[in-house]
Amino acid sequence: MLLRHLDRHAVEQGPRPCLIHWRSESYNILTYAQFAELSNRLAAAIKSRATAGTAGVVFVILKHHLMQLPLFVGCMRAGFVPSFLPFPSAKQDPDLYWQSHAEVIERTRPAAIVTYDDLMDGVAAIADKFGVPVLDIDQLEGEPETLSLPAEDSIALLQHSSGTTGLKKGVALTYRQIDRQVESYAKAAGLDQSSIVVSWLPYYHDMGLFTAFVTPLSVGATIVSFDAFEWVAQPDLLLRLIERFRGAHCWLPNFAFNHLVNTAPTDRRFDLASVKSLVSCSEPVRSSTFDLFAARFEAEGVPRSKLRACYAMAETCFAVSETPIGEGYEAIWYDAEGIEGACRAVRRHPGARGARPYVSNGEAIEGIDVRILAEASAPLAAGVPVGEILVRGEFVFSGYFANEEVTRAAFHGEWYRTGDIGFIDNGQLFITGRKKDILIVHGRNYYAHDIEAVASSVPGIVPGRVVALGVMNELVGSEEAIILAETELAELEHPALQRKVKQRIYGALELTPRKVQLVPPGSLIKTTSGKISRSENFTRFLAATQSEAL
Amino acid sequence: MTDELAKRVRRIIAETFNVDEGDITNVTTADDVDGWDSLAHTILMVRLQRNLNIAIPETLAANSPTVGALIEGLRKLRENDKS
Repeated sequence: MLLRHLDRHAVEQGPRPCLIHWRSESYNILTYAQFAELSNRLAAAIKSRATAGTAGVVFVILKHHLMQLPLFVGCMRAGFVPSFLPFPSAKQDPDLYWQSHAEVIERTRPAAIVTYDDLMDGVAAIADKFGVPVLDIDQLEGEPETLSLPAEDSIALLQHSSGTTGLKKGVALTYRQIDRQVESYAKAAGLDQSSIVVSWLPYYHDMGLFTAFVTPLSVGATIVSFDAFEWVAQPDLLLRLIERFRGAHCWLPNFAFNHLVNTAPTDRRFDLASVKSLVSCSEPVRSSTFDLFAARFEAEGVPRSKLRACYAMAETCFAVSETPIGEGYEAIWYDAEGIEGACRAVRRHPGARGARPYVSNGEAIEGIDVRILAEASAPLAAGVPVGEILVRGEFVFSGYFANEEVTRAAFHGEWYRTGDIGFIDNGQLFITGRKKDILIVHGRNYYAHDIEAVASSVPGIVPGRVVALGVMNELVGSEEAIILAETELAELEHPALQRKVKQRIYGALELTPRKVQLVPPGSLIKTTSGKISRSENFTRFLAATQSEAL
Repeated sequence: MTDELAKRVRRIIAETFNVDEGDITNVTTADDVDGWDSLAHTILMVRLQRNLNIAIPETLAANSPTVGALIEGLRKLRENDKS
């Protein structure tokens, strides 16, 4: 159990650094002993100020903060169930941000919300309605006391999916499930007490929570953590910190590899020889991205053999599968039509006409079973079946918090339906698409429905006549959002309306669409039942874009 | 002199976002240009730094609401560099 591991590390390796918290060119170090003491103090503070007798969830809404991890652990020690939620960025509209969080606060009725000074009023405006105490992270003080450990099968934390209103779901994970994931994944990832992890990943996302917090701290490793906003503006800070602290492990979404290549300084070399593993996760892994990255950084210490692919999701704590350390990645070519049309993955020669390369996400890690839910096909059909990926095992979650209906729909018997489409060839898992209408932009998931609802609410857009599409941008290494929306307004008024739609979407979802394309009423293709068809509008948009490019 | 810098900045913006130079004016904002999000903004800043051979501080990079404001900020930086 995470708490037991931390107690052991505090005794056995008390003076070793647990967390190096980097902020604006300076840093603080917390040793394992200090981390334990701080989390005990914060446990006492939370215990004395959170509401008793509720479900016990504590929402933590913080910017990158030295105390965020000790606080999270403190909540656990005090018997509460912590959950990180994203904070509004400087450019976001606070009203829209709070609207999108009001329902999750109402449904969860947390025992407390911990935030920082600037957000106290915004949080209190909602929390006060439900009698939820709002606590300032910088004002929490308590005397450490010995608290009994929670039961292994009690809920340890919630990971929240993205999405507004009913789409935002809390994945509930028990201490036992987390421990099984940590045990299995630390082995697969090659993490141990001597490991140094460097990360800018936010903690409200499963990748940050598990790779830059729960897993490394369970094994007694050291985390170097810095702010995601700082990284976007200064991508080479990640390379500088790897160099400075001899970082060995790092997890990044696919787009981040492109961003590092696209912004790499031409007049500075980095010594990245300490890197053992850079893992791509949270977005489809692209071999073209890895090829570019290896070509740029091989001479600095990151050859192909150090690049790895991982398939993960909050519902399985984190990892499902990963390629082995030291073996690099391999792109295997499959017939594209077979995958999309016939639901069979048939291998082809590299570069063959009609074939596309796919990167393996490795074999399932210990403790989880993966299978493909596919239509029956002829017994002698070539290749392997393509279908929805199902998982079951020791670290698959048991349900969404206070959301039984959604939980029931998410399972097929004892198997969790991931909503992702893929296939297993020779034991290796490949991801080819997804069933759910989700866009993955810069490593974050957005429901198409959410984006459409926000765009639809802008005066000038015909309500309900909007479609949000995720279109791959090879240069960026990520999908980007394209909005097609109907309007009756004259063309002269389009630029102002496009700007408003972009601003409203950013304000509510922290997403900048690449393009807002306005079309006359009745232009978007409808299904036979009268709904706007995402797939048909997507096909038409791509065809139009390609013919424009020719 | 006004216009060598302004022209260069507008050209780099146009090249970065693959739009016509004529579409970029002093009142253009990031929301007016397709693809100008926070990642692309960093790529633009890197290109401007290389092309103009100056270090652009984060305060200027993050707080220029229009292209005109960015150009004026860069002009001041250059003048300070020279003095």
